[in-house]
Amino acid sequence: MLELIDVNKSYPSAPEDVSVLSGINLRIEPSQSISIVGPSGSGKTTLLNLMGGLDRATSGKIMLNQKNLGSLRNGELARLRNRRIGFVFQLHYLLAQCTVLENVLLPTLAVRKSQIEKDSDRKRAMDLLERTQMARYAESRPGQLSGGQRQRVAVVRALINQPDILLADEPTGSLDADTAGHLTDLLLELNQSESVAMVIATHSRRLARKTQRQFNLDHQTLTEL
Amino acid sequence: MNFLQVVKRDLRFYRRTNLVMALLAAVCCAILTGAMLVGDSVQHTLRQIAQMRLGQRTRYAMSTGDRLFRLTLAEKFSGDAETNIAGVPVLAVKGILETPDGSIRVNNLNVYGIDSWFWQLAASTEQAFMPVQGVNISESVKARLGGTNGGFLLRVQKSTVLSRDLIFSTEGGDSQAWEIKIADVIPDEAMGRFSLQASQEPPLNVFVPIDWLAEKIGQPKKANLLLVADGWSSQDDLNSRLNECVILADLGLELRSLESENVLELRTSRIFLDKPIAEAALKTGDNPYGVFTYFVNEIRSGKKAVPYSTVSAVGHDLLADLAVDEIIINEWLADELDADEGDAIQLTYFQITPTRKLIEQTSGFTVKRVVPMMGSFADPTLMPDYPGLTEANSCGDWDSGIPINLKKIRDKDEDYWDTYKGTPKAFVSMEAAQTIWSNRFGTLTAVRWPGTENDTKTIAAELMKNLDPAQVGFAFKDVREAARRSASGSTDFAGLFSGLSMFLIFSAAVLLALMFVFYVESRTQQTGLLLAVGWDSWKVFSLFLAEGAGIALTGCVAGAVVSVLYTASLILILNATFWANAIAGLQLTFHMNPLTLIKGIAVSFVICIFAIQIALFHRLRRPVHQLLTGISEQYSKIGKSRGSLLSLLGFACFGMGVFISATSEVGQGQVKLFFIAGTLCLAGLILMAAGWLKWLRLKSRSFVNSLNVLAVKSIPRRTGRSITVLIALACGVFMVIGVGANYKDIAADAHQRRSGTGGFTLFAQTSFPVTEPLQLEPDPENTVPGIEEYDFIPMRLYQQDDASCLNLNRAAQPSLLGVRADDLAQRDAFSFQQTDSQDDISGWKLLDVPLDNDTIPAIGDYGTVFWALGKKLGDRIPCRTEQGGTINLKIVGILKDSLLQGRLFISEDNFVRCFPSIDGHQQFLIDADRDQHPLQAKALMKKYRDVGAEVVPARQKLAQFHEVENTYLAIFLVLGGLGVVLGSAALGLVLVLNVLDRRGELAMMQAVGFRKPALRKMLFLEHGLLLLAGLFCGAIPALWAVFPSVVTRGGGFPFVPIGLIVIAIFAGGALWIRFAAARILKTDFMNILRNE
Repeated sequence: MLELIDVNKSYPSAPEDVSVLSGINLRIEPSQSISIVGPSGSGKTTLLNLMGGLDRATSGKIMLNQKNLGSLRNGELARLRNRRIGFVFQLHYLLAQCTVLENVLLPTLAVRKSQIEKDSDRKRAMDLLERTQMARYAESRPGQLSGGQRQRVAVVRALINQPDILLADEPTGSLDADTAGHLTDLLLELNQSESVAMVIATHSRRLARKTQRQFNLDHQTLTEL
Repeated sequence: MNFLQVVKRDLRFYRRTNLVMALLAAVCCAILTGAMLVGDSVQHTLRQIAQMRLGQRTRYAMSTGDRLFRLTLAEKFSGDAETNIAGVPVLAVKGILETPDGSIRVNNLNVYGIDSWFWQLAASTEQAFMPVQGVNISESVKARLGGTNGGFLLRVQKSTVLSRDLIFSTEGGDSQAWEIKIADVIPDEAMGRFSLQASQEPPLNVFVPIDWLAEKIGQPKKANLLLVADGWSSQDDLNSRLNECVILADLGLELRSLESENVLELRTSRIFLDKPIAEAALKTGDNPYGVFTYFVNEIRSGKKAVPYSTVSAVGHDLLADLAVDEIIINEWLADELDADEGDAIQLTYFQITPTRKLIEQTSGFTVKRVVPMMGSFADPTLMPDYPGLTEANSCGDWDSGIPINLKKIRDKDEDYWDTYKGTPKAFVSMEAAQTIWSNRFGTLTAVRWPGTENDTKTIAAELMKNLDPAQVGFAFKDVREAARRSASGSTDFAGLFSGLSMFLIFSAAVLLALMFVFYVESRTQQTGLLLAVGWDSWKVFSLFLAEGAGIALTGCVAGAVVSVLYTASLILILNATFWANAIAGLQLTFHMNPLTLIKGIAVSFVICIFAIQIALFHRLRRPVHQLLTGISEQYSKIGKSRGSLLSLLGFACFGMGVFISATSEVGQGQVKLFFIAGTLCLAGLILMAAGWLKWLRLKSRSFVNSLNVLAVKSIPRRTGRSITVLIALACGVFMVIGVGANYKDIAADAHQRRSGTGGFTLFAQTSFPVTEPLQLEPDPENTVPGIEEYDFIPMRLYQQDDASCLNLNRAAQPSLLGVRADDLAQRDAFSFQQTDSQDDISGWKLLDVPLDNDTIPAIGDYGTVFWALGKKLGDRIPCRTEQGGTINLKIVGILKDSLLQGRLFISEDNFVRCFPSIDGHQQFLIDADRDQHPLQAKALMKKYRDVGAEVVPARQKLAQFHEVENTYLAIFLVLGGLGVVLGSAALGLVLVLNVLDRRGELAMMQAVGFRKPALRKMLFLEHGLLLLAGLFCGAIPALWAVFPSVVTRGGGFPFVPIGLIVIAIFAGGALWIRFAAARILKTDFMNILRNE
């Protein structure tokens, strides 16, 4: 489903470019969960951004469902991100002026939809909120939620368009251990129940161990543990 | 590193942002200082003009009008030791200059007969001692004549010691003319601009040798204006000297000894002795008595009548027993009438109305006795010097100012004239004579002293001692001080232009505050760090304030430099456009006072610091942890909503505004009320909008199912910011539309009586007074049928300072117009803004209401009373009368915008009482045919060209005043509009700030598939709605506020300029938003996600 073939990423700098990723090869199957660990500055976020089409590789190919992300134009990439990829960031970026339900449905607004489709989205959002024990907060504002609750909403938002893959960058980075544990369980449960592939970049070995495959990113290269 | 070094490094490091802030401070300072410099320049120009019109040395002036004094009087007054300029006599008359074919005509000329001393009053010494040769003209006259060369006709008003309003005045035309050639043009600096009236308008002056002019008008060796240079300790000192030097001849008096009658007699060539003179004379010498002799048309007893005779009242013992209804007749008359003691006698005589219409009246008497023609009853000297009668050899030669039917004169009457001349045929009591014949010119024709014990010299000396010459206009005024006061008290242009630029300054300050917010926001984490490492809040506050002060000061200093260029350009534009046309050709001179620059910098700096500290205060109140993380307070717990309270308050304000408007009658005096109502509506709408934003933030249930809804829900994210912009926009739009709607267009209702034209079609003024009704003869060829059919209202003019908006000087003594109140009241002409109504008397009729002895009612235009004179209803304005006394003009009515601006109205009766020597009428409101008025105007100008008639459509006259007001409004609209457009840039800045606050969210939205155009559209909609809300909140109350003035004006709402301004504001705001959105979205927000 998602395949990285000899992906390199470097940033221009004087006197010579700084290489962040070098010769990355990775294949992720549907519903598979993998984690990437590594020290700070090892390039975990960069790798996730490349996988999610938020950034472009310097060389190599990133194929999502047989589409080379590097050959897509910005608009096509945006559409692809909207439909096929879900993101969970360390900071959840919920809109303060919107309710939980509205935040969840935000990605559905990026494309024009019929009323039937909208109703269906809403039903799915409520369903997901139900499954994440957030349904009773559907009409609440982010300001009225705890940090863990906000992150759960962010997870639900990432799944609303039934993506093929969920990319989570340090999703528990700003949470305490208990809350982080609950969120990890939730992610893995959704990984199975929603049949969505999942890539988690994390410092936490404990979280990493819960995924099906674990990788270490260090010195620009990715090694499966 | 010390505190100052931190400040310096910060300023250097953030130089790009700081440069923008400094520019905004510069705009603030440039506009404000520029306005102050305009004020300085106007004052400076007016002072220069005052200097030019009086010359450097003129200090005192005495103008005696039609009472001419001897030239030798001037020699008695010498100026300071340095110049030793004696009093400079001037013979001033009104004139007209025209080409022989009449193609070019300059009316309202001041023709000055001068000698070479006159030039010495100027600053220019080159001109000094230059002999006065030929006819010299001022630069303004030259400009009017264009390049015309060759001969001209100089026409001046005929000089007469008799008022043209006097019944016996003979008129052989009002003017006389001579062919002249122009010798030289006198520069403005060399007394070419000489004038005693405070006006920036260049006077139209012609200078001729005084001897030549005096000879031509038949007043050799006479003058009526005396100029004195400085060098006197005080005005009183000078007037004391005047009292010592004036002799009876200067006052037009003659003291003669009538040996045949054994009396001394004081008489005047003016027929009637002025009241102050008569009163002084009756207090002089031993046993003085008055004489009052009048010319009657007929003396009748039953069927018999004698035409054209004189009848006297003599105040001595011989007639002491006469009752008021008794008459003594001489034997000749008794024989002619076959009358005897106890018979009834009717005297028929003429009286004259203010429009110089003669009315024949009759009074009845009973014969007390018949006296022989001897002694005092046969005294031909009792008759005053009636022009055209006294010198006639026979009745057939009479050429009087009254119509005389020579056919009525019989041989017997000729014989009587041959034998007895004007010897009175009858005598009445003084009381009766003064009751039926007294007039504004006097109540006696002579005063006599019996016997020889009173010698001429003693009586003359005693009379001059008893008489205050000031009472007949012989008094000096300190004209330099008056000029200084007029120039200093001129319209406050610094204030005016500051006011006009108010929104530009306000907008720049708002932008500066927002920029500073941006500046502080961009350094949030640095602030948090400083607080975390132990700096106290005050020190951090001081750091930012010091940086802000440095930026503001730099900007203000730069702005002050720019203001010089700005003012110079503004003056250049004003000189080329507005001032050249509207303010009578005033050419402003740029003047820079360094103190003004310092003041401008200081005030602008304070404004900027105020704006900065408001921005700073709110920024630094956030908790340290928020500052450190850079997380805004968006997720902080939201307190209790005040939205409902605000909405309620807003609704109350709005309701109050609506209530006031609904319960007020649209019309007179309600404009202010509606403006208050509009302001309440504005406050109400803003409060409701604020309440709605608060509600939207907390309670809105609208489901976000599109980016449009999301945009709406994002508006209240930063309620404070949104409301600030909303208020700035709404207030700006309110003021610009509210003021702009007052843009005057008289086209719609100029024909209505209550409009500014009073419904009159034409307005006429003449250079010389007209004593006859303005009449046109029917067109014999009937090419213009009914050309003679029009009505008019004549007005007397006492020309003093112009108190209209055309005069930038403070009018110390406004010009006065004498008008018959009934004429205007019957027509219900013009509208009153305020009146001091008494009982059932209101409007124009208030002019006839008697007040205290020294107070008379006056009415003036709003612009004249409020702006030019700085007065209000009920205020009193002291005014010097011709008799030297002071009367108070009490403002009893204020007219709305009208063509009558610049003068105060008093009743004609009061006018002639206070200014008896001013004869005839000089201004006319004409009800001409609406279709034919151009032809009628042309015909009137042709017929009355010799009196310098200028006839213009009334609406044109009104438009002249409107042009001034409209220009101020246009400047306000341009500057105010620019301010609002600049203020709308605040929206762009708010957008940038909002985006910076939400850059993480926007990055997330991009990550989940939203494309930049969609985000741009969302941001545009969010801030565009704020722009629309500002426009709505400002425009609706503004239209509400101006509604009554639009209705009362009867249309003419300036849809186009107002519409253009609204469009410009919207377009400007939209462009700013579009620009800011496009610019900020170029930032790669994904970096935020990448760099998390």
